[in-house]
Amino acid sequence: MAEEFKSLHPLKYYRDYYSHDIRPDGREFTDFRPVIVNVDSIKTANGSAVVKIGRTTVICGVKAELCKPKPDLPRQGFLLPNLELPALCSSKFKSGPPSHEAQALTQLIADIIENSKCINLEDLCILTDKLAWVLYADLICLDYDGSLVDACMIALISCLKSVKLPEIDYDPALDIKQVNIENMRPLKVHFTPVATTFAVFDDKIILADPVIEEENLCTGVLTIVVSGDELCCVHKPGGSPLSEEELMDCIEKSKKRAKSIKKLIDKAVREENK
Amino acid sequence: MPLDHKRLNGPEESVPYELFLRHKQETVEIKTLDEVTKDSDISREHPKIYLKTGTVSQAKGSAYIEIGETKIIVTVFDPKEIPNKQDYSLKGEISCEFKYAPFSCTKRRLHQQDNEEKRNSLIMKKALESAVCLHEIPNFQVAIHSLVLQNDGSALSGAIIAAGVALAEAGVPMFDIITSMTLEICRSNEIDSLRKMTGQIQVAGEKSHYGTIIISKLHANEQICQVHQTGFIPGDQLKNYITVLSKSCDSIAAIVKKCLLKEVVNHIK
Repeated sequence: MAEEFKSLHPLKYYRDYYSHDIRPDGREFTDFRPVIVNVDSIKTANGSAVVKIGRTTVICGVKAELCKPKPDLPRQGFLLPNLELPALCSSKFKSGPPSHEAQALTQLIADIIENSKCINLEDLCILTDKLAWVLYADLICLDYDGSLVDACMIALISCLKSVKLPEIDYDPALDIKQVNIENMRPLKVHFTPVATTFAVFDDKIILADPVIEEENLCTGVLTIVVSGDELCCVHKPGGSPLSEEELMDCIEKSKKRAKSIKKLIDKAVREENK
Repeated sequence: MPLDHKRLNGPEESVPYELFLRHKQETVEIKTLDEVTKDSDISREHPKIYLKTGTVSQAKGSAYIEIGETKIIVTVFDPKEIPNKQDYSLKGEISCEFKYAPFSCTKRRLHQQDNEEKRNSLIMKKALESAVCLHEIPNFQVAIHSLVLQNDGSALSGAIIAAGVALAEAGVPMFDIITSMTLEICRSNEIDSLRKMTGQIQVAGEKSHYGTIIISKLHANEQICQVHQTGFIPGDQLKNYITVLSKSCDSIAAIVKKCLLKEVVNHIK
């Protein structure tokens, strides 16, 4: 009976739950879903991670290749995070070129990575103006059940922490490269930016870590990215207005969550490196 | 290649570092067909398989399969009307999409579907068409999407097995269980440049014979519904190879049955 009611009157279904201060999946308004991180499961990639937040699943794999640095930035390598929302993750998407949503999120994630300075691109340069690493970090959503940015950020950061690059001997005079695969070095990840998504329902209720139905029905979404104690990005694309206290409250909650997520990522990476 | 403006683009040219390796990789040993048939029970000659249903919550049916080290995820969505169609058709349609993740192979794959992926989509479609009761879903189209997360042989076969299970979970009417297997015949004179693939059966060919054979099988009436062969093998050998593949398909069918049974039991609970 509840299932039929949910599909016929979704808004009323959720409102009824919220009036009793509980969400349909049994969480309170400020509860987060459990997070699972699995590192280095794809052997063909230089680093990989699978992350589940509730049912939302994102996989990230990094492939490292060699290239020539750009003439205007001769000391820097490249890190290219591309998010893909394939048709297999939700009936909302079609196969073919990336949707507007995928493009917008790719840019958001790239901006977060750049602003947080978690990777120093100069670490990726092997020889100035001659040789550098390019890291193709491909994020693929496998199950789209809300809070996608949160999952993507955890996947990307855990993946980068698991990346190992071989040592390269390069002779610029003769243009000879030699790769020493026995000497693999981990990539330095300086900071751990963690994203937390909130949804605003009916202009007043703030829900942490919304599922896809809640995201679709709510009147506004807010994503806060913190790295340690510092704020690195607040993304609020329109929607219901929030008061200053509400916003500060959300930031406090994200900071608290970021700490536990950072511990989780570090533990997952450490276990794998043992 | 034209620039892809919908994604972040890096440098124009980049090369995989594996090209400049200092040490050669160690050689692998591959048995010939006679050796395989002689020293082991042939029905056990298939890679390790893990199969799970219901991995994607947003889809109607989904399955995840591991064959050796190959990892594939397949989803099936609700049937919808065939797009851009004027007249009514008595038979339904299935559309298949086969895609490698960019990081799934030793060499990086591009985002757009390449010719190999398109060919595999087509083979997958043909194989699955024989297993689905298309007359039961007139004028409707079932979309099947598969994504290879890691490729270590048998990617197409894995996608076909998983698609069969995902279709069953989605409740699409089907004639039969479908299984598939890949056999690679390696060139015996180039055996040192070979890579051991854990996902498929590998045998060493006689003289300079080489190739790949993929078969799909329906089990109720022991029908082989799809064969795809590339390479160069004498005709009389083909029969032996197909017998090996067919037997390993039989043992996979048992795994598929077990997996479906588990799904049904969970559903009743």
